[in-house]
Amino acid sequence: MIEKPNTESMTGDVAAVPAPVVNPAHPLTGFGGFIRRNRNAVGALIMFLIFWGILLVFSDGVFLNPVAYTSIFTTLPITMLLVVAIIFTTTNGAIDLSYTSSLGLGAFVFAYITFNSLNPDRTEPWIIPGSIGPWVGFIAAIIAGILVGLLNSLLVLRFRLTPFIATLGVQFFIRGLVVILSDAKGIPVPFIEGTSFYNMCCGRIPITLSDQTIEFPNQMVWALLFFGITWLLYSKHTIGRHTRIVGDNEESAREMGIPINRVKAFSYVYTGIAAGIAGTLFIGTFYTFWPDTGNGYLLPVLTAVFVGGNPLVGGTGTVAGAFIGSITVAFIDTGLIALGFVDVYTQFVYGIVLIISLLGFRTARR
Amino acid sequence: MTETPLFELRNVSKSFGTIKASKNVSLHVGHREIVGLLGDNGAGKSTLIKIISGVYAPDSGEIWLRGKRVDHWSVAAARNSGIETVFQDRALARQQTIVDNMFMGREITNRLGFIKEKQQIEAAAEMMRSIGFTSALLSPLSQVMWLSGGEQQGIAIARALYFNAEMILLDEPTTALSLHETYKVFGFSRQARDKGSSILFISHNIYHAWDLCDRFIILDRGTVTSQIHKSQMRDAEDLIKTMELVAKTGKAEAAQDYRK
Repeated sequence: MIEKPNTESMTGDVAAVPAPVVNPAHPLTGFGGFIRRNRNAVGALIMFLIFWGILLVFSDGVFLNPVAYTSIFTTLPITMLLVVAIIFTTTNGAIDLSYTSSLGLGAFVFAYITFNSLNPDRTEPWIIPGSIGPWVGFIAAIIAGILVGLLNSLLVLRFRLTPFIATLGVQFFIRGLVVILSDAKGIPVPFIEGTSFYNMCCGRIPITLSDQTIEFPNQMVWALLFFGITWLLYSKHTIGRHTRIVGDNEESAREMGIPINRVKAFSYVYTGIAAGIAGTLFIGTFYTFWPDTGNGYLLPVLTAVFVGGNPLVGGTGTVAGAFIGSITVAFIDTGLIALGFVDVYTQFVYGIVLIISLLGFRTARR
Repeated sequence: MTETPLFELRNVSKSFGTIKASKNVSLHVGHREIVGLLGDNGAGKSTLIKIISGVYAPDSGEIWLRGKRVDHWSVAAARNSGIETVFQDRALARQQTIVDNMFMGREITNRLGFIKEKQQIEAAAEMMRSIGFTSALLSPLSQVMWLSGGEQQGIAIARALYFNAEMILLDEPTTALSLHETYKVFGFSRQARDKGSSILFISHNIYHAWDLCDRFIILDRGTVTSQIHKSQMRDAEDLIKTMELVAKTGKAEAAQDYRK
């Protein structure tokens, strides 16, 4: 254990060995240590800055116009919520594919309750009328997300299904449920605009610059808040620490008395909550529920997780990286069009960006 | 035995499928003693350790702690009652930092469960100093995967010692250690005993056990075949002969017979 045997430690009297309590010059302390310990998030940030730089220079001024950011920040929060929340699952060494359907279920529950409380020709008299409706719908959407998370936990923890298979099954099951419940019909809720809930969730904050007024979408405020809470839970709270240990070595976690099932169930439920909120934001942003709402989010969310520097092996993860990754992916979506790539090329370029970023992390980890 | 033992197993059995890993095991550990749990590979030593530390629930039998029967035994319950374990696999999470490994499952937190990082790092540095990690290359924030086998073992032992456990279970702590490191482990064990802890030391190296232990419990194919006090034996060779006899005859009395 030490370089030179000494008799004091042989007899167990080791207090005599002097050493600095914390070595101030150690490479893991200070600013350099901060960078080193967060190299995945820093890598994601560098990747984002490079890509953003390319867009600023080559997008023909599109990314110099604040309007582009208002538009991106209106739709980005839906992805961002899912991306930062799912880090708990990936850190556990698992994957949750059910979020597209939980988002759909949350959107349905929210749209259904809102529709029936605000629409003058409402068909469900038992739903509370008036502008309190959306608030009730919001709570109900979160509860729906929690229930999906509990269903995942039940299948994975009680019935011992592989997370991939269990959550894939739940994805189809919940989607089917949403289609049945909605009778495969869309629900338009344009009248949500102007209600107290809408103003809070999806209003806009005007920011006056010298020559123009830009609007900052409220959705982004909530997404930032959710990111902050998730970061605190992941990096500063025992639940995050336990998540990493369980993903790293489950047997060790068991031997040290970490409640493994509780830690894993938390990850599914937390993603469910994020999906419920994201479903609400979806309706607040697009005013309409479709039976396939959420299906388009499967790959962008996973891409953002990886571009954010999160490996799919358990034990490590970065919420800050995931946050940055979700912005990068949103910028790619808008940026490719701004760069003049016609639709046929977007997936191709998307793939290239993903591969380059993964190779970047691979090299950085060496 | 006039004093109430610190810890007792009474008629504990545990099977895995058709394999009976422990059969009606009764044993006790007193206060301030170092007990050696000896036996060949497959004798059921590790199963017993995992029952005592709460990882496995026994199929039948009773667990007694300080003269009281315990109903709901678990790792958390064991650790909260002052029983710490150094597992054979060391129970470390290799990608995590030294400090996170040291406080694994027992983080220092505020009431909301947020970790008091600074306090933990200072305590970890103190622990590292106490086990002789003087190298400037190591920080409490170093990942455990970069440590040598002996250093990793040191972390596992320091972790058990840190929480002032009343009983420490050491499952094969000297495997893969150099002689010097082994003596260090013995030093820590004696130090812990002198501070008032009891130690259950599991080993298949009889010479190691002889050096350290006051009393020996010998396991063979899942059952306790004999319990021997160190004063009953002349030396380690004597103990080995006894164990061989017990294994051959399968009878606990063999130990006494041999003495005659």
